[in-house]
Amino acid sequence: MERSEAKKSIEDIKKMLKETKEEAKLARRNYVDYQLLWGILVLVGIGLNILFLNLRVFTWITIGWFLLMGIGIFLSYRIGKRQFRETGITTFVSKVIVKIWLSTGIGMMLVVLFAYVSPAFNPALIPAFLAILVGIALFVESFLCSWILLSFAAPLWWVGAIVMAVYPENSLYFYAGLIVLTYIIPAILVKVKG
Amino acid sequence: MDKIDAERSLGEIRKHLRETEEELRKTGIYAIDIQLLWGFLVLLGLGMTVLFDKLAWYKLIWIGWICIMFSGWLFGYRISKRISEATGFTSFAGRIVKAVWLGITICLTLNMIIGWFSRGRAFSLASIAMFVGIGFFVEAFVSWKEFLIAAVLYWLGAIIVGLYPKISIFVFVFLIFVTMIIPGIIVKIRFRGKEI
Repeated sequence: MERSEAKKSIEDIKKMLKETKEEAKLARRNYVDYQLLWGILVLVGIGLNILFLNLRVFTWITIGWFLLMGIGIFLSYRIGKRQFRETGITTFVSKVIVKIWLSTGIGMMLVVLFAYVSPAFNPALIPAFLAILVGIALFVESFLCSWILLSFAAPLWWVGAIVMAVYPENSLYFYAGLIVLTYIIPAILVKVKG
Repeated sequence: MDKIDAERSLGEIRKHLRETEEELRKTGIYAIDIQLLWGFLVLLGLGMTVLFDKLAWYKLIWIGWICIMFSGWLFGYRISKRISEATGFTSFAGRIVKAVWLGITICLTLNMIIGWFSRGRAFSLASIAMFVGIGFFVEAFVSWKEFLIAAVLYWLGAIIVGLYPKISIFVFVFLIFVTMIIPGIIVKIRFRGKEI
């Protein structure tokens, strides 16, 4: 009797683990939606930034970024809500991922704030510091999701940060390249594979 | 019979959860040593920076910091080893915290490199405070909620340092004392002579 009970418990645990793996797979697929959304939004932002720089309408650069970030937060919230309706769960891993992006988001706002108020900061280094912050979020995320494609992303962003600091005049183009390499292409690959 | 089985299983799960919570608490108390180690090392580094700056030995500032970072890594590794020997396991939460702080350390190193490339125009101490704040924020969610206060203090400190770079070292010394040294000493005194 004891043995059959133990066998049943093991079967239950195996079933739960299988379900958890399925949920994790689903969470990874859902994560791709955020990746595509933010990837496209940042690319649009970079395009607008370059355009406004050429037109010398500098105030519009800040306004444009604020608008895009607002759209990103609103659409991310809707994606999160939709995913919760589909799966019915919020895992510990997804909660940690939200906290990581929230804290790096605060860090990004501080970097932009420093560019305006700090006498000791060179505004041309904004993209380099943003790249460091994206790198740390992806570094922790690759550990949490155990996704091989993602584990290449953080070192790429960090190397990119150094390149952007050395050549700040081309940093927006490097940033766009990193977005395509680490956000758009992996997301499209996952979407195509289904 | 099914109900009895279910109750027994639930009891077992609760027992395991209690044990895990207890192990996590133990790990947190042992990890105070790492916090104290880094707190004292950074204080030493800041003191050294002020001294070498006054003596105009600028190259020695970089060498000094590299030595401090290396000592921190070495002793930190030894303390981590002792913690895992004492508790007998590394939890998932513990691994997340390790990954976060490893990432933050890489960011701090990059911060130094970028500071060097930009010839000091990279608000070094403000960005360090910003990165450390991120580490404490995630740690507050994963282990102790009290770390949230430390995160907010570091971010506020980052803004003050960004606005007034001349007082950055004093702000940083204050932050180290309030968020690392004092809480570390309080925990040490509370558990001195007691079996954890």
